[in-house]
Amino acid sequence: MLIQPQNKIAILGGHVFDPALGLDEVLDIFIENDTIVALGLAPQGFHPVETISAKGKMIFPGFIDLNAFLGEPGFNQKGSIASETQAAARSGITTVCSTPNSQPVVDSATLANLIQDKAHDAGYCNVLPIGALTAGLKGEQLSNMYALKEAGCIALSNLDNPFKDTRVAQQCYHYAMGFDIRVFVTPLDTALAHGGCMHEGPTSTRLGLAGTPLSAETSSLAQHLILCEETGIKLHVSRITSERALKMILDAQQQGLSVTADVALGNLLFTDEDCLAYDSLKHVTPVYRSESDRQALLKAVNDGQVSICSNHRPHELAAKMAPFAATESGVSVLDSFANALFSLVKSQQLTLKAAITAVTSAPAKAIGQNLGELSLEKRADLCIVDMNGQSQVTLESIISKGHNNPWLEQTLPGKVMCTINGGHIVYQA
Amino acid sequence: MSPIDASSIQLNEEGRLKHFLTTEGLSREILTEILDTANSFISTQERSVKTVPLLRGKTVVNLFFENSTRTRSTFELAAKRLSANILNLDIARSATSKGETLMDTLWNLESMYSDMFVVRHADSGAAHFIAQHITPNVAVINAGDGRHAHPTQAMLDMLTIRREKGAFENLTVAIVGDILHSRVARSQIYALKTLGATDIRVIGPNTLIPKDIESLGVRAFNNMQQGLKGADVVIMLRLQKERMETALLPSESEYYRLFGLSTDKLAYANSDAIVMHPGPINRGVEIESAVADGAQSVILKQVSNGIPMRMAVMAMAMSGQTTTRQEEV
Repeated sequence: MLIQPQNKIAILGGHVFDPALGLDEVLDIFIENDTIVALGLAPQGFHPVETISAKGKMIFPGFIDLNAFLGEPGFNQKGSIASETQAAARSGITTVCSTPNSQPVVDSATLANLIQDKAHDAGYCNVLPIGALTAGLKGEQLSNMYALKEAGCIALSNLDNPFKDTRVAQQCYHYAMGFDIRVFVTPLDTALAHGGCMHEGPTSTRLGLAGTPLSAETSSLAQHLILCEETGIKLHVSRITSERALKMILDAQQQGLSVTADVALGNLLFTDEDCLAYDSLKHVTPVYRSESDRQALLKAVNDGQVSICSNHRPHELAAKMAPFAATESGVSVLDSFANALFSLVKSQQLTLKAAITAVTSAPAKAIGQNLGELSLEKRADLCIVDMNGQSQVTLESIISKGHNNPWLEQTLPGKVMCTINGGHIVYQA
Repeated sequence: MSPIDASSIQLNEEGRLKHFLTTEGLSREILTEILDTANSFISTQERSVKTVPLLRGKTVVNLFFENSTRTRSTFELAAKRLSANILNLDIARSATSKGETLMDTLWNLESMYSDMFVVRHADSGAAHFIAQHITPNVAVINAGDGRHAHPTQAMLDMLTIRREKGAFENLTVAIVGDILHSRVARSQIYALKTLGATDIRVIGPNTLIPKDIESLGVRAFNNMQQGLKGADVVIMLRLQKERMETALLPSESEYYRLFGLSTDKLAYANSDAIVMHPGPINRGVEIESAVADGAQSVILKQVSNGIPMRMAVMAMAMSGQTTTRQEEV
């Protein structure tokens, strides 16, 4: 990316929408270098290098994705930091929290730095790494937590890997608490999951696929909430799947625990019934659950209780070319993240306010970052969207190296026209 | 959101069978046609010359990714009696163990211009996957995929029931044992429902009954006395010995005491009830020898119905493919 030291952009006539600030009006935005310097009237003597007409378009704060696998280092056939962050930029995402399950695992400052350097060189998104909570994500030994935090990891997580035993988790939390390190957890009791590859229910019974029972999520979540209470750690429950788990988190918040949560976008769109044709693009971790779970999670987003993440897992074609359970789990989401989100708004399952909050101010708060708002003197991260436009998803058009986009050959509502990251135009339709 | 019907890919444009993957979603007419066709082949089996030329010049490949001597042999014999050329590939011990993917194996076999794949695989949905990804004009017959379906076994069981009991209406059928891991049970349940059986029951301990089994239109029982009461057909399932090791059952003896079909327990069923078992039998584990060999047992009849049933399904699927091919020309 070209560094332009005197970068001045004027965005004129756009409908600025930022629920966190209560902004919902047509306002001009003026950017100097990486900062928003004025909203409404241009500062005196402001001579923009670039003027963007946003008439008839919406302007949102840049989206924040709390969970995306970028494929680098180690999985070049699935994705690279450049390819996946470019796909994110196309969805209006300006901040991506990358997962630590690369090869090697992000359990050292060197790796954390490498990822941020590569992201910076690529220039599409601000990448904030999630570091490994245990060495090699093996769930046995503590990682170099302090060094990881110092190197810019906004949180640590063991992701979908189990802890050897509960004591390891407890000690990780104790240690992390001493350095004010935030922990992301995706609760799953692997013994109860017992190799399940979809939600346990009528559909798994019909298909003869091993099901993951609800208790695999909730019994593990109960343990982590108890450890959170004991250690006082800031816990973010990543990618919850069920109404029951949601209720447990809300109860914990009521008790004063520092707990936040997010849901993967796919869990707001799909249910276990979508696995019916053995569609490997519905094989994901964590699993899609029942329609009543989906409805409860939608309501939680509408009530401002949870953020939405992409749970982006790009794969090469061969990874999905096998019988359902034998395929690698996960879908490539980033190219279509914004459009799939807008489809929920268009079908009135989410309010626009809730949808935007869940990908801007809510995730910013969950990771304690001063991001996700369109206010003066803040970092100029934003996107300009034609809400009346539409986007066609084709194999040729997707930027992610992942061919496993579940919306292929579909037309989704909305069109991101422009994404600005730290004052730089990183995507233009 | 209406998911694509997993069953629809087994029918051609005219609604005729072109693959046989599952009994789920097939109409009563098609299931009855399969039974009628198989029935007509039974008489050819009693002749001294048992072959018919329906698949002459066709190549059938037995693709067994999971070991099975019995099912593979009946498919082989059925193909031979239809005058097909048959290639047996024991893949469990060859290519895939050397790291070749399922897709690679299939593409290799396609290059040999086969007309039909008979597939057994440990993954549920494997036969669907193959049917979706091979070139058109190759018929796929599911010979068992994971826990999902074993439609030819279920249909030979239906044939046996029809020959013994006449019609399916008003029949009470009890399926006993490890329903959770049973592809046979699932295929039987769908076939029985479509063919009109009014009361379908599954009997077993809760650990061997899959969640929400009622959604398939059956009633679940944990007790043989209640479950077998008034049953016309009792289908016993094989109990895999390794189930004790995975915390599903306490012991063989407790299982046999509660769910093994003994002469006493059979007395709970109707006096003219028939006893079935897809085989191979574990005598003294799920069934008492006296019952397995007794007057109510039709287990050996099931075995002899296996070949005509497989002949019927192979002939019908191949004819469905041929129709497709002619339309394309």
